[in-house]
Amino acid sequence: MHHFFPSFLTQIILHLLTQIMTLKGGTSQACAACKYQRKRCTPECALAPHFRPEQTEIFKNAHKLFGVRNILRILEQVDPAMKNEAMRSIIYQANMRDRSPVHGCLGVIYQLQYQIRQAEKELYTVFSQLELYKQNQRRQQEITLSPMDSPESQQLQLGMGVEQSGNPGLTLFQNEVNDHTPQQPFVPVAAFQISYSGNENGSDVINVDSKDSMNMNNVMWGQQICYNENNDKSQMVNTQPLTIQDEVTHDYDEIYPFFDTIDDTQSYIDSKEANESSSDSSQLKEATQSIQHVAGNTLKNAQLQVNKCLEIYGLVGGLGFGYVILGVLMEDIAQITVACTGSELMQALTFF
Amino acid sequence: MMASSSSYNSPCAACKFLRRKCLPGCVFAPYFPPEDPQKFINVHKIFGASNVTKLLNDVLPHQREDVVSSLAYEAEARVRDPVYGCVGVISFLQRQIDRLQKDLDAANADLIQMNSIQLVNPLQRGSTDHFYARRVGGGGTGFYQPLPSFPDYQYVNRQINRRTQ
Repeated sequence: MHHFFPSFLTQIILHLLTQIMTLKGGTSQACAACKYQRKRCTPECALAPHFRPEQTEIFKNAHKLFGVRNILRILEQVDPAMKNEAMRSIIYQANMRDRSPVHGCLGVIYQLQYQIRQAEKELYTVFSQLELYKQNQRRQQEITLSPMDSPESQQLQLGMGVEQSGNPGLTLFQNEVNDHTPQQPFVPVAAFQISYSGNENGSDVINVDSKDSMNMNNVMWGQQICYNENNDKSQMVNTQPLTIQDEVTHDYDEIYPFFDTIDDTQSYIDSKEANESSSDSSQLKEATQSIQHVAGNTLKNAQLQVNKCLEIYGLVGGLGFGYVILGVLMEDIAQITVACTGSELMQALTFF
Repeated sequence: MMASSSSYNSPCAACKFLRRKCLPGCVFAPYFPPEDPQKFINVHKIFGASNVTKLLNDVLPHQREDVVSSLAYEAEARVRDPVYGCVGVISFLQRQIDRLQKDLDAANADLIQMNSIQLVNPLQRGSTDHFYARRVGGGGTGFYQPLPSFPDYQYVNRQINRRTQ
């Protein structure tokens, strides 16, 4: 209250000073409108509050498009509280007409509509791609959840059965969706396109009663489309509890190298078939190639490879195979990482 | 729209409204046919016939059709909404673009993240190939041409600059 009073008083004083200056002052204080019309600017000048003396260009545009009489008529029609806004829109419209004498504001509207259409197209494309990603992830989930023949995969699935419901991609989605696409409705402009494009006489324009009614019309119309989309996202996202995210990530990384080796053409299945039809040296070579492929992976992967050998060759064969591979690796590759893999293999073998 | 023949038979909407003889060289006749009187009424009410004449004379003949179309549109918009007129439409569309831009940015960010996840864990190589086909948007900023937005528009003297933001 105490802070309020001095500022209020200051405003009153400033206002009075302005009035005095306007009364006392001559042509130097005339508003741009009166300057242009070369007449005395009185305190009752309706345009003085809206056209400062230096805004001659702006008034010139407004006068060219509307004329003083028409501007005053518009100002008389509106509420006193909205006069400033009305004047601003008149000035803007006149400036746009000056900028583009042929199309004026309508050109701006066409341009904006074009931009909106482009943005919508782009958004639809991105959403459809995101949808494809989601489908792919769903497929991945189905694949990992479905029972498989090989004992290793069953073993894996037993180990991580519950966590398959989680998905780092979806959790990401959850974070992003909640932040970026909340309650703002996505409003397509098809209504505007129908109304405004190629319009010759302007009579098709309906939605210009007021800003609010326009907003409501389009918001109501567009809301359905937006909310359906959001609901889909939120439904999918809300089923994934965040607490298991770390576990899922960890296991997620482990699955794919495993699948990677299975899908690889140098897989053990292929090498098995090759083994049946070829000599031991080639057998070793293909096995070596397989091991080389795995050499870059982690301990768990090595473990999985040995499991595969165990399945194919039996326990003794598997152990022997492992030792042979070690020897081959030490001789042919002679890399520290391979040596480590060999020692890891040894550890894996001792585990069994 | 170019009802040149009707100008000989009946006066154009402008001359009818102004209660004057519609001469063969009437500048309004091609653009204000007598079948649509409201069009001229709106234009005259907001801009005035003399201003319209000046505006039409300022442009080339083949551009006059567009001038009249835009004036008719703006006039009707101003009649319906005396405070904002067609500028209200512009504000609305600008807000819509801002919203779309934000949505696009968010969606593109999601796409990048999904893309990186897919790259790390390619399960089905065949089906994921098309995911990397094209990266859409780049924020969608390429198409966005700068236009003076209504609330922030500052029209300064022509000699100084033409602000395009």
